[in-house]
Amino acid sequence: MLELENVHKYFGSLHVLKGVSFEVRKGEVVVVIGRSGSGKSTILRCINGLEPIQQGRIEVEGELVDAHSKRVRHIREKVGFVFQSFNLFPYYTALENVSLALKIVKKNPVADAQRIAKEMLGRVGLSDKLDAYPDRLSGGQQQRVAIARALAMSPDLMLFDEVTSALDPELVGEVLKVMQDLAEGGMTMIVVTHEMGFARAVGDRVLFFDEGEIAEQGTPEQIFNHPQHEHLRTFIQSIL
Amino acid sequence: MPEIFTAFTYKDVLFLLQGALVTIALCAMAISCGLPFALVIGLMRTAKRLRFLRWPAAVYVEIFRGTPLLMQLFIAYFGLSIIGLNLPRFVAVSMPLILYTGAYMGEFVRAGIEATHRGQREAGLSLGMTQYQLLRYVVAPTAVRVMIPPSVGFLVQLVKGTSLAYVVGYIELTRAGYIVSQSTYATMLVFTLVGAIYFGICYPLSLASQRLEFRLRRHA
Repeated sequence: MLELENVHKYFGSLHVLKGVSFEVRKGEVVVVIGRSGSGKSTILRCINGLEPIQQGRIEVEGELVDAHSKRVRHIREKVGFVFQSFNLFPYYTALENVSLALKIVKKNPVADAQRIAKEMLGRVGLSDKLDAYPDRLSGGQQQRVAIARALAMSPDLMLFDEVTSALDPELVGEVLKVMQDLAEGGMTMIVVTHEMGFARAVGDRVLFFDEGEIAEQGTPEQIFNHPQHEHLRTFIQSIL
Repeated sequence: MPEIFTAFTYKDVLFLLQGALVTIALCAMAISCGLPFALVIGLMRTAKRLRFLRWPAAVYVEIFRGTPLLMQLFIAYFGLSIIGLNLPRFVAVSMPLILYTGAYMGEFVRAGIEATHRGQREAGLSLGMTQYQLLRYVVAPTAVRVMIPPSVGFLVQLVKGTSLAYVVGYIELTRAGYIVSQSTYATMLVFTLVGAIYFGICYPLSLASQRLEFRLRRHA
């Protein structure tokens, strides 16, 4: 479903991804951990074509991701992205945030777009907030709208970029719960996170990013209970 | 009072109101032609893929913002006729106003476009939107809200700025006032009236923009 091969990414002279290769199978939940600056968020942005890569190959369902090509839009329709800072459209209600792309990108009739959007907001537990503007919602609610917005496009793959990092601690749970439900429903997901509890409970596989490379990967059990790489050991100690 | 002066009558008031209509027509011309132009300039100033469009737009903006409107009027009115280009008076007066409006409002458009948080653009992109859709549905709602206050400020300036057309002999409100005051000698009365008419044009604009701002801000 997703294949990365020897991906290199530079920001100017800064070499942020140094030959990253991995695969994600359908229905798999891959959790990416690592220090900030390790390249873990960048890899998500590259998969969605928000950042071009300088070397290597990324394929989503056999289709090459080229950030410079117009075809990348087609891939983005299949790949949902949830951002750390929610990035809702501030002048649209929750319902409009979710239904907008259904109308203009997927060209659904308005009634269908509304129906799907309501259904998605229901799935994330926000049926009572359809007409609320983002500034009237808590961080956790905003992030759930953002998840509904991505889900509405019926993606085959969902990318989560530190989606709970900007939330107050008491709001983290409601967002993780939605993500866990999604995972249990069979969604293919790549989750960049610092929530180790979530990684353990929901992740099928954990990738540890270190200085632009995958330093270690394995099941949550292997990674958390038997870390091999020295940096992984200190990383796990530092966050537990 | 000497004989050559005539009494100030309702006819003079009508003459002033006629001048006011010309002032309004000049503003309407400047806005209706200047705004689309400003949109183009704003888009050029923020162009990403066609980056080379940025500098001609910047040069244009700096020239028309950096020189007095009065000088631009002189050049359009007298300068162009010297090189053999004889424009109708209304066009010769409107043209610098349009270009002046394009330069200022172009900067407001640019500021409006740049006001959208990068994250929202990326959210739009990640949903598969085209650049046009992004501009239309994500950038524009923010841009319009950001543009309103400075635009109204500029519009009010513009209404008053059209009075500069009087120096080239174009009969708009200020020139009309000058003519009436010369013939009636009722200078104080005439220019108080002229001022009141300008105020009568500008104040509703400010009021309307306050209302609009309030309405749009409810969901900021």
